[in-house]
Amino acid sequence: MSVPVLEVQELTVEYVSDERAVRGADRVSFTIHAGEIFGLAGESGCGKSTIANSIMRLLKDPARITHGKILFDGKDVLGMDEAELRAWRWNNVAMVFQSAMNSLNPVTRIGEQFVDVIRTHRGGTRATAMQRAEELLKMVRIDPARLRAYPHQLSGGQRQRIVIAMACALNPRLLILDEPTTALDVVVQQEILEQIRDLQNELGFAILFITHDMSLMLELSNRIGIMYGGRIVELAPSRILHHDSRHPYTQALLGAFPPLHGPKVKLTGLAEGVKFTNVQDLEDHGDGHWVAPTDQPVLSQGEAL
Amino acid sequence: MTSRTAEKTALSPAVSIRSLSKSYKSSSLFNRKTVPALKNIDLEIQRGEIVALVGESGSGKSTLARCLALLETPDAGEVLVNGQDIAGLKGAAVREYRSEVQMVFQDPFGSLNPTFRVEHILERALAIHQPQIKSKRREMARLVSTVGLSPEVLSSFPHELSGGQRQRIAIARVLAAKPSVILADEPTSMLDVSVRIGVLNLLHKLRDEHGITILYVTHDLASARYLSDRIAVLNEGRIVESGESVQLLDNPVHPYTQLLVGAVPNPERDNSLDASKRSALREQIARWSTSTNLKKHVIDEANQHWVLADESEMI
Repeated sequence: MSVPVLEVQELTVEYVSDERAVRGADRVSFTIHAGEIFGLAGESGCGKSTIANSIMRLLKDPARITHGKILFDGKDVLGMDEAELRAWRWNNVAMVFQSAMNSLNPVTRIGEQFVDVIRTHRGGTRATAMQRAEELLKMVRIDPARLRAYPHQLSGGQRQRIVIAMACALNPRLLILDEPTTALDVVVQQEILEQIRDLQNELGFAILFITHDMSLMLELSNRIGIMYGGRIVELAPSRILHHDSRHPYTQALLGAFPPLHGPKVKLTGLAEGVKFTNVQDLEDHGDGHWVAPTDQPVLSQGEAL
Repeated sequence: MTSRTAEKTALSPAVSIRSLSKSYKSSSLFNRKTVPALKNIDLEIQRGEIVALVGESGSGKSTLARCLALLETPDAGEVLVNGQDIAGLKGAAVREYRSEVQMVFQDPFGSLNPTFRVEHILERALAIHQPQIKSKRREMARLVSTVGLSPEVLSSFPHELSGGQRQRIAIARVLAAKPSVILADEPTSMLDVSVRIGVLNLLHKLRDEHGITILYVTHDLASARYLSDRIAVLNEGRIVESGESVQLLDNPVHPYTQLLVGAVPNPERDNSLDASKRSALREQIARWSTSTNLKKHVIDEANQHWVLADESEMI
């Protein structure tokens, strides 16, 4: 297999205060190959955004990367200096944040913001940058005439699509999507995911997709890592994870989304106050399926409601 | 309310809404217009029934719940709760009504006063709604155990509890009023995913064990199907389709319901709606919502499944 686009090895991030240090991510390892969609799923506070921010080198004090390596195309990301980072970000890896639709500058026209991004990183003339912006807008099926619009003149879904188009402006090798559709209605969400897939087919980038919505994750991702308390507890291709999850936490997450078809069955979810402590390293279960060993009983489900 | 209207309530449904309309006035200085939020809503909820109100943001589902909670005054139509008209309730009658119909809000971080311990929060609710109870401590312990928490949480402050625990406390406070109807407005959308199902199960249990009628407002079709007996789909202020939950989602007839069902992420689906299908549905929705020829068509009598459809496009 070729060199992966992204390789995260034993990454540990600590939030350090005077009294104690909290581990936001704990010995997390995974790889993403070219053109692959890798999902990180977990609840709030499990460390998934910490991972995304570490990859982008956006962590600020009191967060510190205390251990591990991040390799992008085999190059050490943690060793880059500010100038290298500036050249690397957006050109090679771009990120769409959770409330990205509010990250557009409200007093500047959309077109100007595209021009700004493209010329800062690639130079060139205003006209060529504008032309590229038009192409990008067409790709996310928004009328290029809207480049003259201000952000408040667009709907939330349109703004989100524009931010995604902007992230793709420089043909990055990796796109990090941190809960890209959380604030949107289901129909809009579906359209945006479809466009992300289309863009990916066209431009061929890899995606790190972060969400807490398991059904969304299963539909979009090729491989999925489930995070809990800063650790990955299970890692598998989505098909295997869907039908043969082995860690009780994964099962609880999957059980939190009732199905839309078939008979009604009672789901249990995770009981209030259940905690997994001291999560062990992943063990190989074959076919790319890795599971952290645990003493907690596997959840039983299927009782009629 | 229970004593005065006991006779007439015996057979009436828990909630009966008839041709309810409500519009909001958007009042910028030069441009006064009214935005209709609810148009001619008819909805009946039987005692001990769980009805889910689904729709996208802006469809009017929260407005309907707020009308029921007396937080909004409808422009037209009537609302009967346990057989009693709620328009024009005043003074003591309003207080009585508020014990009868309680609301669970979306955000348990905002709905509990952060400066008081849980015991104070529950004690206040008991003092207002059930002043006859002598041993408040015992009642509070019973309430928290009903919602699946241990009595130790009584001495905690809200910030010491997780989102799921807080929502359970909010539900315990609702129960302190001994309501017959609970309006749950997106009660799980702010919670961590793994505890959501627990809160839904709790609501289900309250219906099964206490016979409480529940109006569940949500945008999440899957959870609506899971919790409710019946689903009513709201689009632009109208109930466009309604019926028994499983049956309705298996055979959606209205284009809007089809659009919603098709948009729910589903790893097992292979024929997902493509863009052209979606825009066809959108056109049909637009046609139907402006049509003057709308009529209720019964799809399945036994499952109370009907759709508000354009005459010319239904056979």
